[in-house]
Amino acid sequence: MPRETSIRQPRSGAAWRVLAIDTCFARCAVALAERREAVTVVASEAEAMTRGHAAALTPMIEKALHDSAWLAPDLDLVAVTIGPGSFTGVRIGVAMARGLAMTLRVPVAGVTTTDALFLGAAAADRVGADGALVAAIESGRDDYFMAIDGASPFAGTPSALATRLGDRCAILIGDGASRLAGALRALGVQASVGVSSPSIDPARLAAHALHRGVEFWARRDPPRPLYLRGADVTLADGARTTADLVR
Amino acid sequence: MGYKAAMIVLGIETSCDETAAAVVEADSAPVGRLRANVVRAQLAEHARFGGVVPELAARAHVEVIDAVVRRAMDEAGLDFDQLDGVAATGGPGLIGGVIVGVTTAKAIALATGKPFLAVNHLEAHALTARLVEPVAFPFLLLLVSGGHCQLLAVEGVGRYTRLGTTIDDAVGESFDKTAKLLGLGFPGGPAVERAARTGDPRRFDLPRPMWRKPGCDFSFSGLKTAVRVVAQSLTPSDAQGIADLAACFQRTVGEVLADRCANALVMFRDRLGADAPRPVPLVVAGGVAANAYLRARLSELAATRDAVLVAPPPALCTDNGAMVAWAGLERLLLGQRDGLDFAPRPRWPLDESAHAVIGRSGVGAGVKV
Repeated sequence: MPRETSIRQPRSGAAWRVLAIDTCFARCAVALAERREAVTVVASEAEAMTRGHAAALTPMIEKALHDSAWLAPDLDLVAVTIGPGSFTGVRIGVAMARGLAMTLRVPVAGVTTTDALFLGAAAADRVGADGALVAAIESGRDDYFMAIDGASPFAGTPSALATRLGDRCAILIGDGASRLAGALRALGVQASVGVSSPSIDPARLAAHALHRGVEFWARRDPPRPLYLRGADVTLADGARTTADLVR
Repeated sequence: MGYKAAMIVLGIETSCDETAAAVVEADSAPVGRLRANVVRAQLAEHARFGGVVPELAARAHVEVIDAVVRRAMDEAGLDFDQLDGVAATGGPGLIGGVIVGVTTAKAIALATGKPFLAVNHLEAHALTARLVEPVAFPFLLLLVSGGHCQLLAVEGVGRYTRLGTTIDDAVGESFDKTAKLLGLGFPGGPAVERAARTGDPRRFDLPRPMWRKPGCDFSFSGLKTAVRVVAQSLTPSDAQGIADLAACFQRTVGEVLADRCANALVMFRDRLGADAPRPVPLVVAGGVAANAYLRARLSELAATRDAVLVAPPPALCTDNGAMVAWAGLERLLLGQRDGLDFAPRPRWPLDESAHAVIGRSGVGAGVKV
């Protein structure tokens, strides 16, 4: 898509303004933040829900804008989590972010859910060289969506993770942390659940996007959902398979 | 400054396997002007499976919906703040796709402060004729698509009374299944119509379910079974046999639709009494309404029953954004709009008082394979 974004100066004057959205899991969360010298979070809303993100998200953004006395056209950037997570949830966030970006002609900062969890990791969980910080997300199946020390996420079983960890111990964060820690310990891996919040903090996401800078995101293509898994397909004979987009 | 129509509405359609956006404008209804109409089909994604895969459809929609909308706005030569409203199909349909379209429309509405309209996909089909022709209310509607097969009395925007519906398959579904049985490919409607052109429509006698029965309900599953039985007697290389069977299937569907519409016209007149227009507009809508043979058959029927067939151009019968924009525009002209908290609806009958006929068989509006 052609981009006609002017990114030389903030639209509202002195501060760069971002809206951050996370709808990838059992929460619908938004935050507004601005960057002058430092980043200030001006609004943050979150509500627990296993479904209903499609109905809840827009009013939540409206309320945050209203409470901050911001207008949508004041935004310079929209940040969003792109998965892995709930397929539908990921699409709601990405469709909202890309829809706003198209209309307002601003860039989108797409961040993986595992990176977003790492952004919110407490200092106490940031272990030394002999340990790994693992973001672990329930996938709704037997496996997990995981990432180690800020690397790219992957879908895998506890034993696949154990292989990647080698002889390192693991501190786990995210909504799959406690279940995965148990599974790892059963495999003989030294694993513990971190003290960080198991949820993504949209304010951290907003701050991260602003620290990178609007120009950084403007150079990138609009984010696409990251599913880490094909679509389930039931064939005519009843057999099941998975498929990805052809394109 | 040039002339500005009273209303300009963007419409987004993502409820099945077309990613579509369009812009329409009008001072009043009926009859508007189509400013842009962009449809991006997902044929390559689904043809390999012989039917629409819901999760793949949703994945494809979210990748391209913004580019499709942008192209429609560019073709219309408009900025978003020149719109008077943003409409999207809010259901019924494949919910993953509906959510993508609704969320995109809400984003545009939020960014511009313009009204958002959640449009019933079936209402969009129902009102399409009024985008292109001065059809007044009330009219009789035959809605025939891959997921739906209904006859409705349409007495105004939002005022629908179901007169008849299918008790099993939708007619478009029977086209798809026939095409599959005959090895004609996907989507089945155009494939069967093409094959039927060179076929003998009298070679096989197929059953005509519900034919001459009272009321105007439909049934197509027996016809599908009969097609399967005949198809199994043909060899795959028998191109003429396949064409003949396609032609016989299509003729049979035409006879059933005409028979049901004849009864529906009587029911429509009984309902409306002295308010029934003369002639009665028989509006046909939905993907199956793009079939030229069936249009001709219904036109013949109308001519003998003091009715007149109104059929939108084929490109507006299959799913598109123009019909969504138009239905949104009609509702906006009546002062209606929806909240940004609208929850997409996988099921959304036009006549909410009509009871579900096919729920017990497990066949739902949400699955189209």
